Amino acid sequence: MQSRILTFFLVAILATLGVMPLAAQDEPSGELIVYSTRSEALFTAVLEAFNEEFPDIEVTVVRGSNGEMGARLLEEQDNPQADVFVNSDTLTMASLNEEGIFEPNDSELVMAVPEEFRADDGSYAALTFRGRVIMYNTELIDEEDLPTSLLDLADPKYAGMIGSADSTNGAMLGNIVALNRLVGEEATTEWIEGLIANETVFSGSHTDIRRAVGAGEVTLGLVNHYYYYQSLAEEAPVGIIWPDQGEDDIGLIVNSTSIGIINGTEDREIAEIFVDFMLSEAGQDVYANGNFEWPIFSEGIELAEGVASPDEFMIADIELKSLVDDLEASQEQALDAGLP
Amino acid sequence: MSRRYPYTLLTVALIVSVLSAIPLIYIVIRAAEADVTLLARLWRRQIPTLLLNTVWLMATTITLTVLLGVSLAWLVERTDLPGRTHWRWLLALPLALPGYVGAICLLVLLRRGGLVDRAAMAWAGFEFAAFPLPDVTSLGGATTVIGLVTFPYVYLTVGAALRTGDQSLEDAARMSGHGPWQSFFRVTLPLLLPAIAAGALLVGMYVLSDFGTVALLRYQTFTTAIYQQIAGRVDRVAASILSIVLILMNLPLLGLAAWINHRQGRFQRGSRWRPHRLIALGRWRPLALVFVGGVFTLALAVPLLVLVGYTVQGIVWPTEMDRLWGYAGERIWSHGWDSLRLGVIGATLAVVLSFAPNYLSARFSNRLVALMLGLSKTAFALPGIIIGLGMSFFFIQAVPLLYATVAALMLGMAFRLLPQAITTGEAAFGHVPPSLEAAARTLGHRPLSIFWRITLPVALPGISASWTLVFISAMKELPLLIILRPPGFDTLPIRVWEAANDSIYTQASPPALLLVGLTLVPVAILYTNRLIGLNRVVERQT
Repeated sequence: MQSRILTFFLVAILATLGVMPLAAQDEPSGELIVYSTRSEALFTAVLEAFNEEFPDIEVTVVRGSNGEMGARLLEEQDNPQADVFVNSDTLTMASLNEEGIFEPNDSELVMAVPEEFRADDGSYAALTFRGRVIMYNTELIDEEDLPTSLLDLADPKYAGMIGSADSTNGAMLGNIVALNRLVGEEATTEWIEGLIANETVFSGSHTDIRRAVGAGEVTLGLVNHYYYYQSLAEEAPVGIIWPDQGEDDIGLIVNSTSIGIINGTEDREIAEIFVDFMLSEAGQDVYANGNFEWPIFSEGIELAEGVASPDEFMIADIELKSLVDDLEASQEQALDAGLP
Repeated sequence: MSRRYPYTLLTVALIVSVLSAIPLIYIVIRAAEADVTLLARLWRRQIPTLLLNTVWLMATTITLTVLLGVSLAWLVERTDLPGRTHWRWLLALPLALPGYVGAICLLVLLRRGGLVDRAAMAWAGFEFAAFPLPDVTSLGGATTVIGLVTFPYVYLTVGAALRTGDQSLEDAARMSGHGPWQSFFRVTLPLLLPAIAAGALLVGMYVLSDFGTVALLRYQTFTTAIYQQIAGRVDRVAASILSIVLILMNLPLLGLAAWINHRQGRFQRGSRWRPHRLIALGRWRPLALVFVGGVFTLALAVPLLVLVGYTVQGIVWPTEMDRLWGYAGERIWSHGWDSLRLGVIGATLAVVLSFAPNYLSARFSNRLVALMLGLSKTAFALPGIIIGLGMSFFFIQAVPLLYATVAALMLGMAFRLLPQAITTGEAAFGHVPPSLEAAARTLGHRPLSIFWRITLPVALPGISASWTLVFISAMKELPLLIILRPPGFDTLPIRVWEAANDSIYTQASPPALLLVGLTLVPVAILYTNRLIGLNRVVERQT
């Protein structure tokens, strides 16, 4: 028995030694499993760009909703299957990080991400950020009737006109957590109840909502800013409202997409290459120009033509990642209020 | 006849039922973690609405399917409807269309910005978003879609009953002075009731377990609420409690099924049985043809046309979105291959696993066996999401090596389908005369050899029919895959679901079309095969 184990180790060591020099000379190669909560159409282009630079790294994506993938990562903690997680809500990232899902990463690019958008030890870091806006169908509403605040969406005069993401969507949850801090729990609950009373069309997908606005199924859509630009690029009759920009208003709520290396990844080196690419100029450029998102690094990467810069707006004064303790309570509050 | 009780068989059957009860055990453990506030919240906020929604959907769908199923079966079996021998199998085919594909077609047609809306703007001069469209994301929409894909359940059971029913009883009614309508309502219909109930039952169970259709049509039922608990905030406890309510809703249906089964034994063919004379429709013939053709068109031809049209559009005039999804390429074949092998292996495993409990219940029924069967069947009512969670929990805890492998998925699928395999295959062994086996035994054959050489071949028609139904379910399965698929393994339903969720219908259509094709072909082959005939399943199933 013992001799068998010894032989096994010997063979394993020899095999590793034999393979290592070969691998070091070549282009980086291997397989990477990425769990992602991003809509497929928003993630494919950047993967294509990655494979142009690293053709020998095969990336397999498993896509699911925020909670689905979060649950999967937690259940697989002792037996991790994924190497990297890409998600679209800072809070979920921060809460998974508290559970020890991610490995620290002190790569230069990760550490260059502004502190409020990453974990201190780089366990996760933002890739892009985006504002919560209201897009509208220009054929169906006059400008003077438009809402100017997210809170206006609870106004009965918009009954039957609104589309919004549901509780399975990370960005919507982040939105609710932020509102709780900005206007108080009571007002936020009233807002959710108002949305429901207004017979808002709820969907798990923002893409679905933006297309519904474009087609005129709903008049107003509560989405992230780049969805508006995507519909615009498809020549849909849409306009955008950057909400809550008055002097005493709460300001624009922003959230980020983030990336983290899974604790226990089988191929840390490749995972690092992937993370660094996503933060590199090439990766950031795809997010900015293909998706119309705001790249996390403002220098060196140009926004897509026509996309408003975040500097133009008053940003809500909250640091999402510090609100991780609010997450569970806010989820319960949302469900309690009846958000599907 | 004295025979040794087959303890080996009993052990195998026990293991199978315990394994199939894993998800059930899982939700009971999870639900037990609930505290009072959670229960109170669910009771206050969710359960009443969900109950009402689900019961309504069941009521409307069953009404629609019974109306369609009975009238179609009567026209095909009892009248001189033109082309009735073709209609007989054509009308069973909508079963192969997954509900969520039907929902996509309805949305493509009737959603704002859909085909009808655009046609109204282009040709009828309607203003933007002004054409009055019916709201399809509603009870009506869900009823229409589920009704059109499940009416064959009623149609097949009632058709079978009409074929085997006895003409002499109706003759007696006519001779004692009843008109044709009176004798239909007073003799034919009461005799059909068990068959109608059996079909309606299958429809009811479909409604309870359906996820994709109601999710896409935004109609809240238990399955969508359970999904939201999992997908939004990872609340397995709340999801488990909702699942238990769902199972409780299924119990009356299962009880009804047992009752029908028990009762049907009394309706034996009498010695004076005579086949039916066909009723001449006369001037109603064209109208009947329009009705039958209309239902078929709505249920299958229109959806297929829509899918073909959108597939072509996505390939010939691709948008940036289409390019990013890139579904015209070769990936679709690999997804098709994944679907097909999962369907074939999953269905075969499930049917083979069902042999032990089913054979046991056919030959050595007692309370223990009945309890085992009941346990396995209860899982019928479990939503796929919960079965997926239970299975993945089991693999992580008990066999981590298998977790997130294709093998685990196949096993999960087999156990997902086992209740259906047991229900649809139950009668297959019952139809094998015990005297045949006894004869083989006196000739010195051992039990396994008897099973292999006598029982299995004789029961084969029933078994292959049951396999076909299970295979259809395996191909359509969506929620289990959402949870249990390993990285890199994507089936067609998953691709349909992802694209449809983002309402990119040009990309949902190609995999949907391939899925329907892959399901329809084997079904059509099996149905037209005289030995196996799909209609036999349903005849035997309840």
